[in-house]
Amino acid sequence: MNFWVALVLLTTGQECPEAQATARQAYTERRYDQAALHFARAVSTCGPHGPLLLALAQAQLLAGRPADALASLDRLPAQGQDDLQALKVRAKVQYLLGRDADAEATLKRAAASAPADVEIPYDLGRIYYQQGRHTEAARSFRRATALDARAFKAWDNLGLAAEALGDVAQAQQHFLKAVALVHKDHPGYDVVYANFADLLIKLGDHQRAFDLAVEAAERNPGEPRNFFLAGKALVQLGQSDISVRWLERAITLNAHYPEPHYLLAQAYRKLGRPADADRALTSFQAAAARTPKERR
Amino acid sequence: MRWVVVAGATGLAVSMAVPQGATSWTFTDVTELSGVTFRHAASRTRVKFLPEAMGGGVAIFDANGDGRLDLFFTNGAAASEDTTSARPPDKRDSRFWNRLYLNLGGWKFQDVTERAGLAGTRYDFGAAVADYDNDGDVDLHVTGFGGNTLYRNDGNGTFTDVTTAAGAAVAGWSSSAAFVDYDHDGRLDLYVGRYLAWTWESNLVCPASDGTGRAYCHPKHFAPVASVLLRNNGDGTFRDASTASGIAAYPGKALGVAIHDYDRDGWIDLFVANDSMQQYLFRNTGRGGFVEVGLEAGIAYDDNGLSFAGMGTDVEDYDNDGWPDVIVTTLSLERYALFRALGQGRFEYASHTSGVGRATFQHAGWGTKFADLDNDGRRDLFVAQSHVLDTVSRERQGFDYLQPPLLLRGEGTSFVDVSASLGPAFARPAAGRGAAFADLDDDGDVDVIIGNLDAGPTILRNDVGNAHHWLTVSLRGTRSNRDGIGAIVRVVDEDGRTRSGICSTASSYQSGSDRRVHFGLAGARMLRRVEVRWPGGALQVLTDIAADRILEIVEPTAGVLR
Repeated sequence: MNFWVALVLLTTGQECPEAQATARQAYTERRYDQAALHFARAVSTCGPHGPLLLALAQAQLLAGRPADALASLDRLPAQGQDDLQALKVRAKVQYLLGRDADAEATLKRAAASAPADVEIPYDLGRIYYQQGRHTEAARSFRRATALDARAFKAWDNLGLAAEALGDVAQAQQHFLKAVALVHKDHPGYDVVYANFADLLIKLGDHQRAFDLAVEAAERNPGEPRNFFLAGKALVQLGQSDISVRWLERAITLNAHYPEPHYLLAQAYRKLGRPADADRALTSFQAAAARTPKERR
Repeated sequence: MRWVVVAGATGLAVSMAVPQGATSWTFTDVTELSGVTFRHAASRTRVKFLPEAMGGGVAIFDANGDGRLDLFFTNGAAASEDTTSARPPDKRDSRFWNRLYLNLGGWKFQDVTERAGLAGTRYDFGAAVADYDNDGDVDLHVTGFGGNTLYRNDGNGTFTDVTTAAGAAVAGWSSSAAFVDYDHDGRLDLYVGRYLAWTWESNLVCPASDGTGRAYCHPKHFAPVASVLLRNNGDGTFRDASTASGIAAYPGKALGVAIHDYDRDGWIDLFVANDSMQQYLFRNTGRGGFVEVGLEAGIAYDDNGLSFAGMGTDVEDYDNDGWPDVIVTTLSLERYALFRALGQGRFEYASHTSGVGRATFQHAGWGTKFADLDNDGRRDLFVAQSHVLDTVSRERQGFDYLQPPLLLRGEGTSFVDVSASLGPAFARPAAGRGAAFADLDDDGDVDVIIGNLDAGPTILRNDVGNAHHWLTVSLRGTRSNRDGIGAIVRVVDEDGRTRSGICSTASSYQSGSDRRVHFGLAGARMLRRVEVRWPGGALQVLTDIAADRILEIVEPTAGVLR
């Protein structure tokens, strides 16, 4: 049953329409904190119905509260626990909580009931990649692309997995495929341009890396990594003076992102600005100290 | 003009996979015929005590003064799940002894451990060698868990434990050590790297990620500790100079240490490979102390400012630009960290641009050295390899615990993986840890000894042949320390090509190598100049030196250019 249809059916009893409507509105507007708040109110007034609990869990997940989301999923009735959507949300929650083995098992259960669901091998691939199981990650992403040849995120991540496996030629082919898919049809998707730029910096192709990073920054000007990569490519191109502007922009977007501070110090050093370099290193150390060692 | 990626674009150059080079030379594994029957015993337990994973070291030095280089291996000790500080591992069983093998010539070795008095008393890790008392024979320092041991060479084939009498005792977990005359008083001091704050009682339960049992814990669970610098008093004793020198101010997780004058100011500096934290570069101030400058030198982190698991290290000039560069071996998925010197004490992370990163992403490395193994005039990079977790193959598909050694051939500023063409020894997976380097048969090429965890060592004879020329420089200090440790040797061939190297026994991982400075000279039969910059700053110059020999240089007692 479609998730929103199920919710609408719940509301037909007129027992809690206001809470649900407010929650749905907040969810649609991506105000997930508010959505979670109102769904929780709806659960308490309407009762712990499965679709409502699932909606609450999804809102909590997107609000960055995975532990609360898991608690909501645990309240699902027994038959709702094996619902495909519930399994997929549970797996995401488990992944974010660092319970990779549980997330993997949940996704495998989901795959057994929906072998053609492209989201499942994609999420499995992300877990494997995070764990450094790159062979398995590549296999999962490849499965996702086999299920849907236009699954651009899967192609993007397949590129990352191939890079991790040392096959940079394949990695570039996969990134190119993803770029071809998103170039016109997904103007908001920037990640593949950044990933590709990152690879090309490692390969010493700094001019192309810079172009890709600029494209990523144009697509998503709110993402500091895009500006960092552009700045990094410029440093390698010997244009430290220009790189400073890109790196400072990355820091403006997120002052707690350590890498741009570190690179900025190097750029300043090359520009003969030791005092600025020392200041950047101090900022780097402060940012690094508060950054989690593992990012998910 | 912007470069735009278009679907199906054909104009895009796609880089190839990791380049594999070929060579016409091989290494021969001569372990079986050598008479070296030593097997490292880690004494692994179900509870996964951290020391079990760290393996042992190798030292190559002339223990009995017969002119041949001998072999020393460190070993573990019998531990069990009941092991505690009060009931420490037991080394009495001869399976756990450290071992000394005398070189009989012809790649034959004889175990003389018992007579030499080198069996040891604790769970040991590393070995460092040098003539610290300037009496003409090479002494031995052994690191371990719960203490260290300084053995004075008695000059008659036996050694005496002088740790306490010399004031050289270091508590805790010591790993790699380095003899270095940091204050230029002509006496070798001793840096003892310490790993972390761990005890048998504080070992944690760290589940394997596949849920099948326990794995060795990540070092992040344990606090760093400061290393120790022992200053040589010149009367056979040392005093702890850790605080006075500034070393004590920097707690770390030291696993590897190498020495060099990275900024060419005439004072020998220390580089310390730390596990999963920033790397340390201790700049010698020339006033009896050190300041840690890794961050400002651009060597503390990778190119993104991220830390990595520093294991083994070496500092040497691989690109022949006169400035010493740095390699740090790391764990899988980190890429070995190559830092190319930019001059004036600055480094850039060069793993990506040199090819080292692409060749090592899946590898985990320990003992390492820049050495010109094919004598082509460019230093290559050797690494003893293995993942740290013996459970990794179960936990992560595509990852191997046992890994064959790696040789990246130097191509000037980049490296190419030539391991596959070097013979079966480079295809045989092992749990490589320590590695030491020396021309064991004095035939002009550098041979390699690998210490493998819970297994016998691998003795690799370099069979590169004599297609290229070479020079090995053996120094004897008179005003400087007798071993000449810290001296920088620079050779200039007839075409003006310059190469340099440091006289040192310290680098790699928990190991001590031959102090002689080896140069591959490619086609050069003659050297226009051989210069020695002795630790005190004195410059000695020799001219018109023929290649293909071991050149002994004695420091003049007077009349030296400065």
